[in-house]
Amino acid sequence: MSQLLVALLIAVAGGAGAVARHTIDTFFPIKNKPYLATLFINTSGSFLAGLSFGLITVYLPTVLSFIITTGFLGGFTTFSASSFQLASLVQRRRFTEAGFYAVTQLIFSVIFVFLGLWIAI
Amino acid sequence: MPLPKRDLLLVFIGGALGTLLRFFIGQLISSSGDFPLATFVVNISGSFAIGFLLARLGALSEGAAVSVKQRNWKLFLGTGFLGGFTTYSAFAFEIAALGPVVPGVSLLYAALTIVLGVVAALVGIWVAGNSSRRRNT
Repeated sequence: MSQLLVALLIAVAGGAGAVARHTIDTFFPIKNKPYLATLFINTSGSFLAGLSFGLITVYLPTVLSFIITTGFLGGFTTFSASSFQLASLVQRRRFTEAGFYAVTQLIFSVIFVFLGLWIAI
Repeated sequence: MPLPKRDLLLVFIGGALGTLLRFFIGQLISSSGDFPLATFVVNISGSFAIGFLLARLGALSEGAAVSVKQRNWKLFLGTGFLGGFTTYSAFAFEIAALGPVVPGVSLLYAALTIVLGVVAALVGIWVAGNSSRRRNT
């Protein structure tokens, strides 16, 4: 597959991931804490990254790995929204809540990567 | 209650462009030793940009309802482009991959990205506030 086609497929997959994130954000049942939707998106995206990387490494061509992980899941998960949510918690001096959010998101995302890999392999 | 097609299109195009830029940066910047420099650069610069963007859009709408134009920019650049540009899954994956091999680097990478991401967003908000104040006086 040509490099240009791979780049194009990654971009399209990233756009689709962003649309999926926006849809979940909009319909997320808990409205008063917007970071909970981001927490859900980033932890589930990390699980899927571990799972798809594991499945692709074992069963499928690696170019698919780029399209799914770099493309779709990279577009689906977001670091910028998380940083902004943490910054606005810090500005309102809600340090405990900010710390709890940052640490929970990090630990669960990393555990879910391992869990995804473990299920796949 | 489906989402407006226009919103989805803005998020899709922004997300595709942001993802493409992240992919190119990933090809250009190689890891510095074990440290995943490309994802680090992407996530910190994206955090600065989202602070700047949302503060600028918010500052413009203070006391007034957010205009359709501002909402569209927020969907295209914020939710789409910067959301697609930055990534949490690659960040978490790299921490998981480095953890068993070089635990110190993994921990440093995690802590540094999260802390500097928040600092970058705060600096972005601050810069947006300063530049809009200068423009108004």
